[in-house]
Amino acid sequence: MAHLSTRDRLLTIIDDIEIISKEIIENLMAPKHQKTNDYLQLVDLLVVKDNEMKQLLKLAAEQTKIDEKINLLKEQVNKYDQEINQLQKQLKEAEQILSTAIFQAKQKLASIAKAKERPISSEELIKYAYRISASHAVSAPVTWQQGDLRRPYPTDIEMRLGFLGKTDLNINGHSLQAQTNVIDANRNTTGEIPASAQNQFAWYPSGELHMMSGHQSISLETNRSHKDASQDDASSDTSSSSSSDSQ
Amino acid sequence: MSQEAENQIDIVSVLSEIIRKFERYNSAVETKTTESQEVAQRVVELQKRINEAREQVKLIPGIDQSKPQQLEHLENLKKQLILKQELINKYKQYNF
Repeated sequence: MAHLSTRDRLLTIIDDIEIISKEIIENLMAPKHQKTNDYLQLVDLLVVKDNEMKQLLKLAAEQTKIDEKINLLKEQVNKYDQEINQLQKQLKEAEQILSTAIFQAKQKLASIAKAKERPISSEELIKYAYRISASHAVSAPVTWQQGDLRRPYPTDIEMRLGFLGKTDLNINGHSLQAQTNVIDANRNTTGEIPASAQNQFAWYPSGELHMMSGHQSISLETNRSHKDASQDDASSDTSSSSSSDSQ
Repeated sequence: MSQEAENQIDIVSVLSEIIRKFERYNSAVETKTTESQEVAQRVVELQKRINEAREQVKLIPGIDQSKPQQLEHLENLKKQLILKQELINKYKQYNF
């Protein structure tokens, strides 16, 4: 009985009352010789059941009030649940961000350690940076605009200014003197060519890279053999060799 | 709610009326037909009242459990509320 809900108990009592009522009515309807003496007992039982039902109804009223409190508490618990879920999501996001940051930091530390194993002086790095960017092959000069004749590769004019251009070779029937006059005319229009020609890189047919410094041509060693370098020295009057890292 | 339910589930009063009617039926000789009709009506009404009582009981909220079970449920919810409040305060205290 302790585990039966109040609803079940009420329904049981109603069933009992129904049965007792039917018994009483049958007793009333029966002819006199068939009537039993249970009539009074039935009536007493009915009264007892009725009282029980009234008690249970009072209990049901109390339980209804408690149920209202329970519903209020459930609403609050749901709100707290939502808040906790929200905080959990934020925590999860923070954990993800931190783990990514730690991973990247570890990678950076590894690359720092690797760099420390083979240190290079800043001077060397800057020299190399100058070397590779001197011909403006890495990025255009600051003053470069559309229509500027300068290019990131050796132009026709620069080739003529180089070793090949200064030889006695007569290309396409033009004399050497006429070619240099054309070059001078072009130089004046752009304005900056004289400045860049003083320190210009030029590729030679042999595959060597020469740095033009005024009238001097300095050959830079690439991956080619020294044999090519010695041939170039013989052919050039003003060339001098210097070794540098071309990596 | 309880007052309404009590009024509707007042079966005993209907039954007592039936008994009174029946006794009148038995004693009255001239109006037996009408009395018997009234008795029959009252019996039908009794049955109807009993069915209505059942329906009413099914609609009453909060009586799915016994009172001790309900009180235990209430206590558990209160504890849950306190624990969750503490958890939220703990989370909010951390400065990330």
